[in-house]
Amino acid sequence: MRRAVTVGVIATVMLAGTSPAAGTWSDSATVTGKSVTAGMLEAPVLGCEPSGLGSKVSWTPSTVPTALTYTAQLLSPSSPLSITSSSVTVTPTLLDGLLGGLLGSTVTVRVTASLPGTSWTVSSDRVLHYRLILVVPTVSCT
Amino acid sequence: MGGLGTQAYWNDVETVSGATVTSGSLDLLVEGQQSYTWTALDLANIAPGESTAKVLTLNNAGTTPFTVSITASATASDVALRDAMRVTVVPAGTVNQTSAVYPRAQSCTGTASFGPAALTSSATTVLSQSVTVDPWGSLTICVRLQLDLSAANETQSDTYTPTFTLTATQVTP
Repeated sequence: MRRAVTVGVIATVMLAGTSPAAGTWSDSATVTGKSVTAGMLEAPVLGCEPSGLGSKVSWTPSTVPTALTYTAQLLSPSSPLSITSSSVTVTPTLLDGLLGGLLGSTVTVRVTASLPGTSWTVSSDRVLHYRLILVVPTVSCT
Repeated sequence: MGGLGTQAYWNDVETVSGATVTSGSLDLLVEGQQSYTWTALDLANIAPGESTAKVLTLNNAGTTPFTVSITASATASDVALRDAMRVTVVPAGTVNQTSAVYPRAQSCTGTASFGPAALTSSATTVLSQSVTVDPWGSLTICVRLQLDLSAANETQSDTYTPTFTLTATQVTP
């Protein structure tokens, strides 16, 4: 048993040593976070209906995650559109000025929703037709 | 005539049994586990400007005091989201919720050992060995994730996963 006692003393010295050569215990654990998913703005769903000789494009404003702000424009040629009550109206008079009376054309209305104070946006497009209907220049939804 | 006397010696043998020496242990557990998935550190549909904070509890389940260091890294489905996610680590911090509606906001009270800053794909030290945890003792770590207001448009619907590696090192006497 003397031998056993001797071994015990040596082991105690090794644990108490401060030299790097004496070894230092360590243990590790890993923590993996759950995947955090960024949100996504709701794209405006664009409706279209006749409005006189023009067409009115409208949408329901989103409040997720908060009230979004909206802008609207015509593409090709690019021109901002004035929004009234979550809708824009495109008239023959407007397109005549932009297209120079080029009947038979199509124009695209783009509505963009933005999260205020951030870079987040989302857009939806609606194609309108500028043509003669019963000899009258008209902007139609289809 | 004298004869030689008998030279005999008595002897005896006794056995001394030493007590069994049992080595100590060093055991770091996170929420009671060696490997832990931190499901609480989440904020559904996080948007720019929003933040979440949660507390992680580390335990010394061994018999030896240790100090803790933590490194962290992150992956994301788009590097733009990883760059826009600001991480803050506060030892012994607690969660302070300032808003439950957009922009939802939680913070960690206390002095940060890291951040707010973005993590990369490489391990970054977010807590150095500064705090000693005694046997059966515990240490709490508050971690905050904040999606910066400058988050790019393409970060929408992307996913972000942080990973923390904790190392306990024996305190030498």
